[in-house]
Amino acid sequence: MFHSALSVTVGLSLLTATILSVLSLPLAAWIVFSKSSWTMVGESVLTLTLVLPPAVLGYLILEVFSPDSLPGRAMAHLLGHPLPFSFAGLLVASMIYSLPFAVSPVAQSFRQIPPGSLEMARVLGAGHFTVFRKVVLPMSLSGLATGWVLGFAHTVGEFGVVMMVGGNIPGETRTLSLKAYDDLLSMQPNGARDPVLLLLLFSFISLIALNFLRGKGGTPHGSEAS
Amino acid sequence: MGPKPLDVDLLLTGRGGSLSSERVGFGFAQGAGILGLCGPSGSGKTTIMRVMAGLSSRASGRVSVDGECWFDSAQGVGLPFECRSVAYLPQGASLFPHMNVRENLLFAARLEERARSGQRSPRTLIIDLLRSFRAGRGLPGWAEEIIEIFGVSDFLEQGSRELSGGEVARIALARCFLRSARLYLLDEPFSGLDPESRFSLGQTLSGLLNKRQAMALLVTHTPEEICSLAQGMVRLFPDRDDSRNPARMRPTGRGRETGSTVFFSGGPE
Repeated sequence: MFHSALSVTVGLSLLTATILSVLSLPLAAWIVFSKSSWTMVGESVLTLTLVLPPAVLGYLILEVFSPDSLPGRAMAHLLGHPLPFSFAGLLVASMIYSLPFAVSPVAQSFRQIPPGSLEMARVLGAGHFTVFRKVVLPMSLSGLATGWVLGFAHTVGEFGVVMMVGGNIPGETRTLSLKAYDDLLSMQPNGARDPVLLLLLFSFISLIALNFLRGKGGTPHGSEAS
Repeated sequence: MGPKPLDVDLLLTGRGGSLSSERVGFGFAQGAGILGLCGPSGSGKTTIMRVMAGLSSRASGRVSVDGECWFDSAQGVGLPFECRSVAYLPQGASLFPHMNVRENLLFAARLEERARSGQRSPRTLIIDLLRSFRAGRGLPGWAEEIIEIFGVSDFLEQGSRELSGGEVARIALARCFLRSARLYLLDEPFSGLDPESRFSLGQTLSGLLNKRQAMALLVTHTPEEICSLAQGMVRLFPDRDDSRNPARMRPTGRGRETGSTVFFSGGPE
């Protein structure tokens, strides 16, 4: 029982963080480098999930992907079962919920690239894609790693959205945080201790990783800029 | 007489809210050599370079090279950078911090090879990709030659943060010349170098330009040092006292004035 909750949480978080890291590259590139004024709207929509209560977000996801709606029917047709109350549904919800955490560090590191470097690459004859692959991406690795860790940590710790969209099905959509909640309600002595300790450990390791990335991976503070 | 190799006539629109604009005209009568460009800070040297490179259009007028019109505000012509045979070395050019010197040079060499191979079909794209795996980190022979000329072969394995300002300037110049172009726009390429190496690097530069039959416009704050190398010098003056006089340019050295445009005879005496 406990192991299945752990593997659901770890599997969900790994998948969410990894898919989000891949998605964050084009999204952050659009937000930072596009000259369109729509990027402001895009960035606001992205940040929306930061301020929305998880319950509201969960409700919206349930509504949009309910089998009565068009996207819901399309997804049900694609997957063979309705999206909500399944692992796939949990994954989609987690991705939406953790999106800003994965994207904003990447966008931040894109913004920190000196414009001179980008122009230099261009005047040496590089096209947009080459500039991105050879200059933007290698200079943003620590931002990408930070985004991955934040996406992972945030997915491990989520509760409200998981509760509403996943439906707390043991072995499929019951995560560690839901297990801790259930164990606490079951009034067993020390029932919630293991999941709680594990969640604490995950959070602590994530923070250590973040501080390591901030200190060593990127340009250290006060180092010479060249 | 055919079209002039370089013909520039620009009206720099007032910057910083000033209404006055400066008219600048100069040209090259001979197909290869160096033209100096000097003037106090804020006189528009970098703007002229950027307009000529196609990176900015904050001016009106026209720029043509070998009779090909690169920029003409009256006709709305403005070729993008990619379509001009131009190489641009910005002021204070830096190396890519995440690459060592060899990788910096390799980056430019690969792009040049790609440009030389012409139009890219999916097939050449795949061949390029395979070749880039096979070639690994080795620089092609023609690039080694240029790197040798600029005397930077000794730093190839160094990281770009371990270099002195003069070494960076040298490498940036070598990297710029890996791109073959008709016109080189060099914005203070010798900053950070000691006087002796400035002189020898200037010699190298003019030799290479002669070999390639290419022109260079070279911004400098110390015109004396390139006087012996340059075919002419364009001096810009800041527009302070007399905003009604549009001609802001005075020719010095060899050259004859036609209106506001100066064509330099060029070539050694």
